[in-house]
Amino acid sequence: MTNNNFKLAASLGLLALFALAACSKDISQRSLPDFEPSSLEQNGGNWKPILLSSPLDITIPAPEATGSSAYQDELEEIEALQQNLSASDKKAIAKWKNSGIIKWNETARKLVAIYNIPPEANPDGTYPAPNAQNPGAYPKFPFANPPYASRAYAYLQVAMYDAMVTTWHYKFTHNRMAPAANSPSIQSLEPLQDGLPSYPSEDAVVADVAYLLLKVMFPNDTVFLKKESDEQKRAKLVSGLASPSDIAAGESIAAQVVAKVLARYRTDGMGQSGGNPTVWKELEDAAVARGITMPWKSLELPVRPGMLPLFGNVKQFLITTAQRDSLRPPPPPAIGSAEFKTALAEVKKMSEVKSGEVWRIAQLWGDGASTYTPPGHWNEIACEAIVKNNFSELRTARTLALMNMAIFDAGISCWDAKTYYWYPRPSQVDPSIKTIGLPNFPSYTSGHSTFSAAAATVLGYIFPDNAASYRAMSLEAAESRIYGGIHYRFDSEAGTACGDAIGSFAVKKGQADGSN
Amino acid sequence: MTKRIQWSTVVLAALLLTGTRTTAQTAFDGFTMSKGELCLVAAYGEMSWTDYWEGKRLRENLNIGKFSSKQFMPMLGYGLTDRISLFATVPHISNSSDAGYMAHLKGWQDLQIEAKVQLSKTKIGKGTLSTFGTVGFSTPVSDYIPDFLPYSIGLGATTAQARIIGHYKFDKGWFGTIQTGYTAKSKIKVDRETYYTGDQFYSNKMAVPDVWDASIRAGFDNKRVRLGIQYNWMLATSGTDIRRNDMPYPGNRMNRESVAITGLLWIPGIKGLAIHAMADQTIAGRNMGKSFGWMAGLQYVFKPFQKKKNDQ
Repeated sequence: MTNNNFKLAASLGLLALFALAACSKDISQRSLPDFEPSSLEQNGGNWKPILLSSPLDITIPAPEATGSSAYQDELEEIEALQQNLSASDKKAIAKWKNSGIIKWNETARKLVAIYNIPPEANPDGTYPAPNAQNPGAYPKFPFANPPYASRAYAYLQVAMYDAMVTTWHYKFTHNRMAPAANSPSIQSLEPLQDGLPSYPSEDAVVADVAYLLLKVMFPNDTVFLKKESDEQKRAKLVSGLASPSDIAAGESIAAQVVAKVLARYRTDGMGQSGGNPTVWKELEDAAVARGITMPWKSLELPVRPGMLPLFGNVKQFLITTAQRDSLRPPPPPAIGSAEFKTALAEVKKMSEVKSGEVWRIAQLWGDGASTYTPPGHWNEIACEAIVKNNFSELRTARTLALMNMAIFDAGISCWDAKTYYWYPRPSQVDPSIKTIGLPNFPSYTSGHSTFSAAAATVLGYIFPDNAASYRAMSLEAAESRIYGGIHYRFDSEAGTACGDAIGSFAVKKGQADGSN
Repeated sequence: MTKRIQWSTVVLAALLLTGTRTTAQTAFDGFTMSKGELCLVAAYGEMSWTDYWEGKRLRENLNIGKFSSKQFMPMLGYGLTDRISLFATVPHISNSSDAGYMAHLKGWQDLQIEAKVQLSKTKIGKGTLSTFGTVGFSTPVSDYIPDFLPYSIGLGATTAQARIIGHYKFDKGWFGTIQTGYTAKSKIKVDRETYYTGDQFYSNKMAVPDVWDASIRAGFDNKRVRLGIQYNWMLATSGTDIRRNDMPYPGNRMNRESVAITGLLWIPGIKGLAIHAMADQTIAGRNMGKSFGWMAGLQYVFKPFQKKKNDQ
């Protein structure tokens, strides 16, 4: 070969290398398109809130008239701001111009993913617990596991909904329009919904409800959350959508609603859901007394206490304790029975498939440690539909509140069954069953199945055109746990049935809330 | 003129290119094949670790226990000319551990093709300085699962790499080799639609860091035997750390330093047949196992397509 050939070969190789090296490491992500609400929801103030008895539980002062000098001063302030718009203001306007509730839902999902890692064992084989009083020390508070996450999403969205009903009540009581509508010298730097009063500013309400709640749930991130909240409010001020007094009224609503929501949050029994060694032993003994011949054991090393065994006692939104008990699935098959053996054999068989659709589905719905959890997955699905259907902030809040109450209640009922039956995972019965990652709590019923059925039932009610597709997704999520080697089919089926039932309670609530 | 085959450890280097926890990190060496020579290699190796670096923190994980990787590597080398040789391999890898309940994975990994070009050969002092350049390419041959570390058999990326090698050999057989290369890696598609590594990503694509690696080697080579000792390092040029008690991701910044010894022995009486072996100990790392690995195999070199010249 000639020297030229070397050069050619070398150049080709280098070209190929640089072609690859030039590939940026940036990942293009799916994101929701811009959208504008299609309805004003003038009667939204009459919708029935969840924790408030009515919007009148919350009070704000009447706004100054548009002709008042106080309001005119506010308009002048905005006019001046618009004349000196900074690059960061423009960026903030673009960032917050769509649904603030969805934006904060995404923030909550991200925080869940960040904090959803089980603590590492101490050298002596015990496990440290996160401490809300010292949230920055390892393990950082919180451990945002699926129960914790379902609760965080539910309270956040319930608060948003009650605050939005209140906001809509006062908007159409006072009917004071946005600065950009009240002054020819103020531009609207983002879409302004015609006819939607801006006192109080729904964005200020959303910003502060999110900040005030999320900082309790994720205290290490208070500074970040405050920054986001301030940025959202500032964006609405400079874009001509909200005046300082619109924003102040929104802040007042948020603070009052959050105080009521936190009163429930702090007394719902979550603080006792971890239990202690004496309680764990009692729970196991009780299950054995009910006929479970091989009680669940942690297969982690060192042995890790089960995840929140008393989460099943946390106060639900949609059903009473008596209803929870009546919805509790029937006992699972006796270990060693023919039915059990068939189910176990199926798990074993599926766990050995490590490719194709089986593996893909197991991973797609896995939503394990370090993710936004199954409740987060369904929040993403819901937000996509909300945007497609051009929901107002009020209807967005309602949708997410109904769905997340159902998911949270489903989680509680599922955990109640898990603890009640204390049933072993397939790998405990047959240690040769390897998994996509074995959850550290009893098997019966499947959390994914329960969460997903509840979510799909609610979404199917709100978006009937997609009901079949949500149903198929929830069944796929239920199936995925068998594929992953961590659940028997009867775990998934019982979970799905329970999730359906709880979802239908949310649907009934939705049907009666005056929004239809 | 003596045209003895002087080639051994490229086979081991191939493992470095796409694997993440491969046994062998013997870098490309300073030896060549001659025109028309075909080299067949079959090698087997094992690698294991019990401690790994989570970010920069070395730890054990009782739910993994001892992690083991077994690798079989068939490989083909061909002397296109006296100065250009081509290599191709597809390793089969089987990963498991002796504790925990995570799925074990195995399968054929990536097709790796390398071209090695001798750029110069100069008599200097009491020896000869040779320089080489290599370019290579790799891509998965199966739909193995890249996003289930540490059990994944590879990272699933298509890669391209370029490398330069400097090799000085004294007439009496002592030699030193220094080489460095850069491997660019494509993004990969995973089964998850959303993941968190450094940030929340709403995508089923993951970025896999590029790698810069190098090694320094010293040894002795004659007609019967070749022995070497070397120091290797590889550094990811981007990537995240494994978070405390989290699982690893293909996008982690995986760095590694190791020392290795290599040996090759020509079997007396059977022309062209050699047995080779190496052992490699990781001495530092980031987001990788602190592994010890070895590999051994047979290679056979012959000229199938032309009349053999009389060597001696």
